[in-house]
Parts: sequence; structure tokens; C-alpha cells
Amino acid sequence: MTRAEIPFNLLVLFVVVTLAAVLQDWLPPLPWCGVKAPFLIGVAAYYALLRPWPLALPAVVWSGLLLDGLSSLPGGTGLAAFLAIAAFSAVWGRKQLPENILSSALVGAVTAGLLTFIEYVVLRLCGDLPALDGSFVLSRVVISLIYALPVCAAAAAVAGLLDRLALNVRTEKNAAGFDWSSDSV
Amino acid sequence: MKIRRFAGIAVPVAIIIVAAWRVPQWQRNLARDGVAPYERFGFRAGQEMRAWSRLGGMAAENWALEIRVQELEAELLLLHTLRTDNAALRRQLDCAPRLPHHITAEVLTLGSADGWSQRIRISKGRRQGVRVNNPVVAAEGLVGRVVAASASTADVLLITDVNSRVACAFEPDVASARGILTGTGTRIAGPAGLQLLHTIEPLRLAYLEKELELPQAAKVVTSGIGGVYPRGIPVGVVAEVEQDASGLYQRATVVPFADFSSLRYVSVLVDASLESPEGGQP
Repeated sequence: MTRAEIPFNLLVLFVVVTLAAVLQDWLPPLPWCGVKAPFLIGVAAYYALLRPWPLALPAVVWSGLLLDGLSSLPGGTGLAAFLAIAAFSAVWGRKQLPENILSSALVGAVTAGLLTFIEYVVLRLCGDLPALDGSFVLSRVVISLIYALPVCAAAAAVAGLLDRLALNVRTEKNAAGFDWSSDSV
Repeated sequence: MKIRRFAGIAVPVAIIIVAAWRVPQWQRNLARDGVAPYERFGFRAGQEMRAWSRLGGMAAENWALEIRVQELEAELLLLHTLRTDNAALRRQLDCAPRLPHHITAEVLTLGSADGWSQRIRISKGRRQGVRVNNPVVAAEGLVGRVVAASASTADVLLITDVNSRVACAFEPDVASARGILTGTGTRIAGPAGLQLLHTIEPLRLAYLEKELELPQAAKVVTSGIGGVYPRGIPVGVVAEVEQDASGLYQRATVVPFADFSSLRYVSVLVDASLESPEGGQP
């Protein structure tokens, strides 16, 4: 990423993270289980897996802070989960997973499922939630995971589209999908 | 190699510390006030679309609303007289006037961003006079109370949340019966029914006297005990009464009057005596 590209990269980052936060907060929960659309997880996974670190870290931290600010949980579970995605990407994800939207959606979905369970544990430890039936918690985790797949894919697709429109990434498509390297055309 | 080993320990420790970190109120206020203008825009766009989709029936709706406005204007005149009488009597009895006024707010979001608690976010906050513990009502009945207020928004804990407690009575007064209304986590989108594998019950009114005989469809109102909710706000109607598991009390199932799935506007009852200087709980 050259110095000239920084403003456009930051502009896309600002638009994408803000849009994701607004959508996650504004859209009503799923009618049958109360799970919210995890757009912020999708954005965090996209940046952690597919964008250069100088952009990925601010995006991950900002998304986490926004999620914690908008949620009613006492601890910083959102930021912690997103830092965990970043650590996973640094150690394993970027080397092993193909650089495409599907990888980002998969990582986002797994994070959403885990985060749902962690949130339940945190709320129980704080005494803010009564003990729920194990099958209910499990079904909620599974639904979060399944629901996160299309949501995270959509978040990554929109973020990728904006990055391509802003010429932050190469626009040629190769056999493995779009080239997500930081070089612009 | 040493750096990798250090990172392998430091990163998980850092993540645990961040997770245990208590999110400060200013961070919550900043996030909520930051996204509120966009949510307000979304609310208004939704209202516009709703209006366009109902364009055909607008003339009939307008006619019905005109009649309703006339009825309410007449009632308002009567209430104005009663209010003046009330103030005069309170002056004679040397009682401090306690007449809450209301602030109408738009419902910006349904449910918290994490999806675990039954909350709504409204478009009025501390700047407009909303304070923690202010009761929130809809046209049909009680909605909940304010649990957090930022400069331009406020979070309302619905009476359907498992952490909600409302001291209730019956109308007409059934032998001064009292009970505590708790939420059961009824979802706020769509009608109550099956929530995954679990049957969702409406609200539960606990600690009713064992010998109490409630009439069919008794109306539940706030009792005024506890100081948060004023007395007499309609809450719901009793659907079923059964013995408590302990055998010491009865408990009733209550269907709320307010339709939580279609809340668009609510009123916050503002009372200076209940003001809290804090931003509130998360």
C-alpha cells in the first residue's frame, strides 16, 4: 500500500465498518431465535484475512469497539473475538486458506457461533441471564453459525466491491478469484 | 523462534484481558450516538416506504384519524380540567405536585446488537431530558423502562426481558392483590409462539396470594410500588392462573397489551424526582 492509496483505503474502511455497525444494530433479530445479523464479524474477517495488516488492525479494533459499544454485554467480548480472528489469520488463516470471500465467510461464521456461546457464558457469569436449556443454547449457536455464513459473505462481497471500485485492489480476476494484494493498478 | 513463543503466550493473554475489560459508559455512548443519525435516517426511510405502500387506503385512514383526533381533543379538554382540579387540591393539601410529562420518541432498533436481551433503542436521550429509570409506554400499555441514556439515544429494557421486574396490581382492585411481573424472554419480532424447541410463554406474574380468586381476563396494571412505574399504567390481561411450584403462591400468565413486534413510537414518562445523573447500566 503506497502513501497515495491510504486515503481511499481508509475511506472504504470507514464506510464499510459504519455500514456494518448500522445494519447489525438496525435490522431486527431473526424472528424465531433473536439472533442478530453479524455484519461486523463479516467485516472483521474480511479485513483480517484479505487486506494488508496496516488496514486490518484498525478495522478489527474499531469493529470490536463498536460491537462492544452497541451491545449490552459487560465485557469487551467483541473486541477480544475480533483480535482472536486477527491472531488466527496471522498464524494460520492467511497461509492456509484461499484468498477469497468464502474463506472470509467461513471464518466469520465459526467466530459468530463461538461468540454466541462465549456471550452466553459471560452473561451467566455476570448473573444477567438465567440458566438456559443446553439444547436451546446449542441450537442458538448453530443458528448463529448458519446465519453468519451468508451475512459474512455479503459483508465481504460489499467490502471487496468498494475496494475494487476505489482501485484499492487489482480488478483482474485470476483462476483463484480476485487478487487481494495491496498493489493497486 | 523466541518471538513466536512470546507471541503465542502474549496474544491469548491479551485477548483474555480485553474480554474481561469492563466496557466504559463513554464507549457505549459514543457508539450509540455515532450510529443513531443513520438509524434515524433508516427509520424515516422505512416510514416513507410504508406510507407509499399504503397510498391507496390513505383517504380512508385519514378520515378515521380525523375522527380519532377529534375524540382525543375532547378527552384532552376534560383531562385539562381534571389536571387543574388536581393541582388545586394538592395545593390545599400541601402535597408536592407530581405530574410527569411525556416525550415521544421513535424506536430506532429492536433488540440489542448482541441479540441476548430484549431492548429497544429510542431516538431521545439525555439532551431531551430522558433519564435512567424513566418508564416507557406505548399507546396500548407499558413497554419498559430506560436503562441507559446517551446524549441523543436511550436504551429501554422491555418488560418481556428476563431481567425485568414490575410491581403490579389488578383493575378493578381485586382485594388489593399484588404481584411481581417478570419477563420470560419473549422474542420481540413476530407473534409469540415457538422459539426453536421451546414454547415461549407471555409474561409471568408471580407471588400472588394462594387464596386469591381472579376474575376471567383480569386487567393487570402497575401498582406504583417501588417508585419506578407510576400507579395505573395498563400492562396486560391475565390469561391463566396456576399454583406456584412451591405451593405457597399462585402465578399468572399475562398477555401484554403492547405489541412489541410493531413498536414505532413510544412515550417516555419524564419525572424530575426519578432523575439519575449516571449514564446507566450497559
